[in-house]
Amino acid sequence: MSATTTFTTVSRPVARPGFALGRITITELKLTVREPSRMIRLLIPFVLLVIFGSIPFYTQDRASLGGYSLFDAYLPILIAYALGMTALTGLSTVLAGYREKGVLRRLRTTPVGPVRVLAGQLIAQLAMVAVMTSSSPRCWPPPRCWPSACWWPRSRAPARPLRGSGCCCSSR
Amino acid sequence: MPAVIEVQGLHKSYGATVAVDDVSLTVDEGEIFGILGRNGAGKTTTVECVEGLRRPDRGTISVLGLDPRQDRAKLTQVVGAQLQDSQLPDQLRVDEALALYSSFYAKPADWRELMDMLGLAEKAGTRFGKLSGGQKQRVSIALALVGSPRVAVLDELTTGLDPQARRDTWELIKNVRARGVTIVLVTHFMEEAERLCDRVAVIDHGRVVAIDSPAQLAEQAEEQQRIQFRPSVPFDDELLTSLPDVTSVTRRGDVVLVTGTSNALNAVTSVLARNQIVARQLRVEQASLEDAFVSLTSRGN
Repeated sequence: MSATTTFTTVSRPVARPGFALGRITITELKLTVREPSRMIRLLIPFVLLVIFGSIPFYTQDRASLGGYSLFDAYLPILIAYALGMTALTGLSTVLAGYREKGVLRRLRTTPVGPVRVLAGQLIAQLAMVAVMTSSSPRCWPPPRCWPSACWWPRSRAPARPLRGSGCCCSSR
Repeated sequence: MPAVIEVQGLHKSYGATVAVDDVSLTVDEGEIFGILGRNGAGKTTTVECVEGLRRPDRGTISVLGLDPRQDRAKLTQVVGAQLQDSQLPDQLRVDEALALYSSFYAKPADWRELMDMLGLAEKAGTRFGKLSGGQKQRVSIALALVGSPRVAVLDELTTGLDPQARRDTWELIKNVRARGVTIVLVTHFMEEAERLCDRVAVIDHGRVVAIDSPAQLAEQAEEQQRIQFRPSVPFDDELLTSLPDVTSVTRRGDVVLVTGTSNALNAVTSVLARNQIVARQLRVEQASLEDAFVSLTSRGN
C-alpha cells in the first residue's frame, strides 16, 4: 500500500493562515444572518434607532444639549450598548453553544488553532455591530463616507462643528 | 507493514476513576483496526489520547512518528478525527462546512469530490440541522477526510443509525480504506467489527484483553456448534447421541436441538440422510465475535 492517500488534493502554493481566517469570518457572518435569535439581538439597537429617530421630541435640537438633539446624544450610548451586548452576551452565547455542541472539540482536531477561530468571531461580530449602528435613519441615503461619519453625533442646525463630524456628512 | 500508530502502556484517570489502565496496541498501515468494548471501557479516552485531545498520565503514543501532544500542528494535518457527539452549527450548509474545514489544511482533499463520494452532492445546499442522522454522520466522515489524512479515527460511527444507513456507512468505510487511509474504528457493535475490521482490540476496564482478527477471536471463544431442525418423521434420540461429535440432544416440542463440536453438522446431516429423515428449518449457530466478546469481557466480573 502506498504511503500517501489517493484523494485528489488541492495544494496551495504556501500555507495561507489568512485564507482560513477569511473563511471563518464569512461563515460566521452567514450564520449570524441565518440564526433568528442572533438576528433579533442585532436588530434591537436598530429598531430602537428607528423608533426614537421618528419621534420629533427626540430629533429637536436643544440649546441645553449645546445644539444637539436627544437623538444625537442617544446614538453613542446605543453604539456602546450594541458593543457591550455583543461582547458580553453575543460572543459568549455563540462560543458556549459551540462548546456544548462539540464544535470546538472538532476544531481542535484540525490545524486551525484557537487564535484564528476567536479572531474570526471577533471580526464577524464587530462587522455586525458596524452594520447595525450605521443604519440609523439619519444616514439614509448614505453619504459618501458612510458609515463612519454617521457614528458621531451631528447637529443639523445651527451647525456647531464637532471633531470627527465635519467630513462629507456636514454638507447634507 | 509499518506501524502507523503505536501505543505503549497508556494510562489515564479522571480523579479517582481510572478510564484507561494499561493499553498497548499497534495499528498497521492500511488496515481497519477496531477498538471494541462496552460503554465506559476506555475506548474513547484511548483514541482521544491518540488524537492529542487528552494528555495521558503515563505511557507513550506515536502516530506516524509524531507525538500527539508535542507535534500537534503536524499531527492535525495527517490525522482526521470523527468525534462522538460532535455537531455543527444547525444553520451551516453542507458545502459551506466542507469548504470551511478544507481551508484549515495545507493540502486538503477536493471537497466537491469528497461530497460526491459520500453521496452528499444533492444535499450540498442543505443546512446541517435539517439533515437526517445518517446524513449528519456522512458529513462528519467527510470532515474527518477533508484534510486528506493518512489516518482516520472514527468514534462510534454508526450509533443511532438505522440498519440501512449503517450498512451504507460500512460500504463507505471500505471505500475510504481502499484509498489507502488507515482507519481506527471505535465501536460497540459486534457486527460492525466483524464485517469491517482486519484486527480488533477488545478493551475491558481500561485494559486490552485481546487483539486479533474477528474470526480468530470468535474461534477462540467457543468450539461449539448449535444445530436446530424440525424432523420430517419422528426418530429416536439414540440415533444422534451415539455420534462422537454430538454432546447433547434436546427436544422443544417437535424441534430438535443438537449441540456438538464443529464437525457435528456433517455427522448429523449424514445420519439423517441415511435414515431418510428430512431436516426442515435447519439452523446452525456458530460462535460469533459476540460470544467471544462476552466471554472475554465477563472474566473480570
